[in-house]
Amino acid sequence: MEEAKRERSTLAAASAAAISLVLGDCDLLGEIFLRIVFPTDLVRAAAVCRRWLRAASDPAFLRRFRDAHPPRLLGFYLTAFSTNQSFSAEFVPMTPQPPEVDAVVRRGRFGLDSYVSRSTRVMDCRNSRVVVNLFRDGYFTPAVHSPLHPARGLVTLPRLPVIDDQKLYIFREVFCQECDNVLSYFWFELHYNQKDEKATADVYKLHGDAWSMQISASTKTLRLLTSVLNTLSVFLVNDKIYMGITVHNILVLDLTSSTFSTINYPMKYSNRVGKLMFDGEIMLSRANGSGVYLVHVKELQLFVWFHSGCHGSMGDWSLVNTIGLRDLCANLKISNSTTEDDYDRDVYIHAVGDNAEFVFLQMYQCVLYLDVRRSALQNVCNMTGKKAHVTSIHPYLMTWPPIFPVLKE
Amino acid sequence: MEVDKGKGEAEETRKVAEADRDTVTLKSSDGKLFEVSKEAAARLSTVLAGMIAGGSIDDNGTDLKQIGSEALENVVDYCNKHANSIPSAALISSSISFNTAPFKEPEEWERKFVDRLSHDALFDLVEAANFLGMERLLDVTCHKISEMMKGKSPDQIREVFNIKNDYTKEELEEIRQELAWAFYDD
Repeated sequence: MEEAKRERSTLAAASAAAISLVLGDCDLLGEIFLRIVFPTDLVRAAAVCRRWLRAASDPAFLRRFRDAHPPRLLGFYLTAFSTNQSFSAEFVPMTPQPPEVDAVVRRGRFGLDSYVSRSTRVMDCRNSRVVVNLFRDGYFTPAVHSPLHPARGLVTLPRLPVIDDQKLYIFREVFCQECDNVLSYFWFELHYNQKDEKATADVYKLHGDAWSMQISASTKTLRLLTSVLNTLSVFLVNDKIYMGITVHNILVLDLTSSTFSTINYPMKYSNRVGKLMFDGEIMLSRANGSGVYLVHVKELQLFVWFHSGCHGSMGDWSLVNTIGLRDLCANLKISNSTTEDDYDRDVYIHAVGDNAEFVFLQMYQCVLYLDVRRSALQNVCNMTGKKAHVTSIHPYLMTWPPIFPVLKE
Repeated sequence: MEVDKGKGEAEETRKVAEADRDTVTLKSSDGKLFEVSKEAAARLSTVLAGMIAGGSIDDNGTDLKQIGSEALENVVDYCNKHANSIPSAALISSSISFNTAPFKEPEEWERKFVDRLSHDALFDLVEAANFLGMERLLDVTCHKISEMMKGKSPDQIREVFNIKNDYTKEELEEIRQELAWAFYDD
């Protein structure tokens, strides 16, 4: 109270000149905003006046802010396939959180249970929106759930293109992409023709209330079925779809030119009983700007690779981090009755954060969160006794960037 | 001739003496003089470093017409404190760890240094740090101002910084609706 009173009285005496000189300088205002830690405080600052809104919504500023304060992980959606042959998805909050973040989580409505559905699966999760696939009235219905915007409710998307029984589908998902404050939804399917050894990607974009075919492109892919990865990593970023599908290479589909390109992996595969596979598990992730990250887990060692360009050979990869999981696991007292030789077969990668900032792993019945920057491992969920196995994990991050309304000048 | 030579020698001696001095004298807009460690000034301010290297430091007080005596006193105080401070263990470890943040958190003494300033002095110091190209001091002062916004509502921020609300009621309502997650406690 005294403090507040003193603050007011000094201000009354303060010459507004000093303050307005500093806050009137766009560069200095940007430097001050850059040191705000939580996006919530930045948004409130933007609500102070028009000039502050302009400073806070400047794209170059937002990129710097993101680099200085990577969006915090609020929790994750865990989709599990249960013994009753249906999917269910639950939100698991990350704890502990600073009070500022905790307040946002407490106010959010994360649960999906209230929606009528016999089987619920999360397909994508970007900028605080969750794309879910609900099974209701005999149909799969894609829909968007916005936990931090409860007022929006569940927004159902048009039904998906019908499955063609003649096709062998490798992947069918809805993605959302945010580009210059415009959010678009894409329906992506990849199917394979064994006779021609051709993989075909069909991409639909949501226009109004219908999916319209945007591109369809094929590429020769030899022996796809015997070289398919245990865990597929497919994501959309900057109008490009990255596909870690087979051990041969990473397929990249450019949506603007409808062309495929490939990136070779940094490691070699081997042939085990007719199936081509890597030693251990891999997963790809987005990189800010351009490029792609690859996380490889092998014998309780985790390797983080980065590839800067889109086209390139093996030599363009750089190993940016190596983390030994053995000691970290020992600290968490995660163990199994099996011998240590079996370790590598029991580590799965479920999700990798943008820029490989974190990784969700599974060992035995435990879902583990690895903070790559701090090399810290945390047990975040135990599946023991749940009669279900983990199908996918979608990290849920603090909404970023904030979408400010465009005001009339 | 003799006299001139003697004067030249004296000039030379004075310059050598000045180069040997380990402080520089700075003069505020209101004519007050301040001594500051040359090493710290050169290390902390790109502008002063340039002046020292370029020989444009005046022994009788280098004029800094844009900076008032109170702000300059704080600048000098900061430089001297910085010269005496030993980087903390935390700072050393954070600089070698996987740290992509473009700036470091203020150290304990830096926090105390800005906490004792009045609003006026703080904002004047930001201006001075900006003018002198003192990246670290700018870091610390901007950090302090950003902390003054922390956890506050737009109304409270306006009050603290004496800013006029130029939004219409409808516009503010639109911001609150679109970004409802950021307005969790009101």
